[in-house]
Amino acid sequence: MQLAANRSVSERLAVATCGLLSLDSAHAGFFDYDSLLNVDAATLFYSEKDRVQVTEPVLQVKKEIGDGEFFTLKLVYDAMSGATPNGAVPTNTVQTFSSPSGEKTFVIQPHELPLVEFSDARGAISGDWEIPHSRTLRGQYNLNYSQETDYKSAGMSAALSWDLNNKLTTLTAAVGTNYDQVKPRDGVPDELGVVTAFTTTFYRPGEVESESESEFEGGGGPGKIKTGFDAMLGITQVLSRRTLMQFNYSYGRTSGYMSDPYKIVSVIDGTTGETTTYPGYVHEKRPDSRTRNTLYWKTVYHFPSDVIHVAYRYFWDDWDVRSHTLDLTYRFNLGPRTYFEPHYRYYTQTAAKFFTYSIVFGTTPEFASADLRLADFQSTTYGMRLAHRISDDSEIGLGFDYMVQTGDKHPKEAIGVQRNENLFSDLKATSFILDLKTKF
Amino acid sequence: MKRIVLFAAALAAILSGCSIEPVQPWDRDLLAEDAMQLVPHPVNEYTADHVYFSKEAASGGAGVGGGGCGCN
Repeated sequence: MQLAANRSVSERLAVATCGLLSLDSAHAGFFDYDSLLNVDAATLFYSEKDRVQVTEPVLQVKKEIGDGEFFTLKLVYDAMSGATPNGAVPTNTVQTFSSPSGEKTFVIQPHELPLVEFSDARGAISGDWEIPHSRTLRGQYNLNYSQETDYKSAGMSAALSWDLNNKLTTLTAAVGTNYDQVKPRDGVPDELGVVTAFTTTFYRPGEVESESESEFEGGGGPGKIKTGFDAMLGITQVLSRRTLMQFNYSYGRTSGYMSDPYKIVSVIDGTTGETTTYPGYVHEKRPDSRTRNTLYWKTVYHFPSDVIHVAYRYFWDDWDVRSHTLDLTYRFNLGPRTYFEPHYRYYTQTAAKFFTYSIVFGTTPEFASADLRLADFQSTTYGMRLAHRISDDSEIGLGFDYMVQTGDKHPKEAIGVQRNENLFSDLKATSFILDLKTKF
Repeated sequence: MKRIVLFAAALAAILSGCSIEPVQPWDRDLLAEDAMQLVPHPVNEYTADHVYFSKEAASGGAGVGGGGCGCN
């Protein structure tokens, strides 16, 4: 106090002015930094043959808010509807599934894959802050949140990148965590409990949750939680004036409820292979922990005119899923403003150890899921994208992808009448993506 | 495990076969092009990854985070 009392008026004014100036500079840093607003927008129109349709607009804006410091905001909306497999196997008789309130009944003809209708919407927001900590060290910090009718997810991640060797080598270390909650409208079903009604989700904004069915844990309950932790170590190396290479190792662990509350498993007779009258179907059950590993390699090479991107990923987890992915994109520069990008992707995976087409009556598996996404299958994607630079700062593009998933239609573990059924219906999906990049 | 060893061996062969040139800052014109970025079209990649994530058991590799989804 004594010191303050002895300050001259000019000193006090100087301190106050500095304070105001620093406030103003902070304000300028966030809102008035002289940089353009980078806008990257796209809309995906995804359509599966006879199944799911999705429309997904994405808007990303990125602004430099300080010297080398960037803030990125991403907004996503998904509108999903259509029919999806519920896990029951096709059989030689009519199968009927109804929603818990009985408002919807799905009659599946003999030899047809049981599909049930659904409809949902999802909104997601993500904020990303990239800041240089020193001349060679950069940090990137992300917060994200998404919400659907029955699902919420919140996550955060942090990454540090260290430039070495005159910025020809970059080492990256990243960690991330996720907290997800699933809360079906009719409650979470008892895992491996007998299905007396089929639960599905119908998006009706503002509707009050219905009364719970006996097989569910209650629609008004807290739902089920899943938490995840991910870590990654990576190296990016400039190999030549034309070549860039990246190599990453990632480790992830997820704990909690990982079953799909909408998926069921047929309980069949061990001799005839026919679906039993009782119990008929049970809700699926997956393990409550999963440890994932990935090795990821990517190379970008610049030909005299064109550019190729080649990526390979090997994935393995303690559910016994092993997966290889090869991804190729080639950019033909058709002119100074126009380019064409064919794309090829090949994906293969082995089945999760608890995947089963059905459960034999009288057996009591610890875990069981008939979700075909956990089966042994291959997926091939053919794509192309045409883009045109409409001004120095703007580019528009139109992309098309065709994806086919194929699996074993007649697996050796099929029993009785199942041998006559197609147990893996191919999935065929087309995607159109319209995109725009511009600066303001 | 055998596959991992094979992959590591293949990677080592690729890396050892590629000589690393000391690219000077004034020679990084091609590397600075949009097409040479590891992810040249982040929003398009986001939508494609969302499709793969919702239809396949394996995911990730290029980074961490990205948000959860009830689709898988």
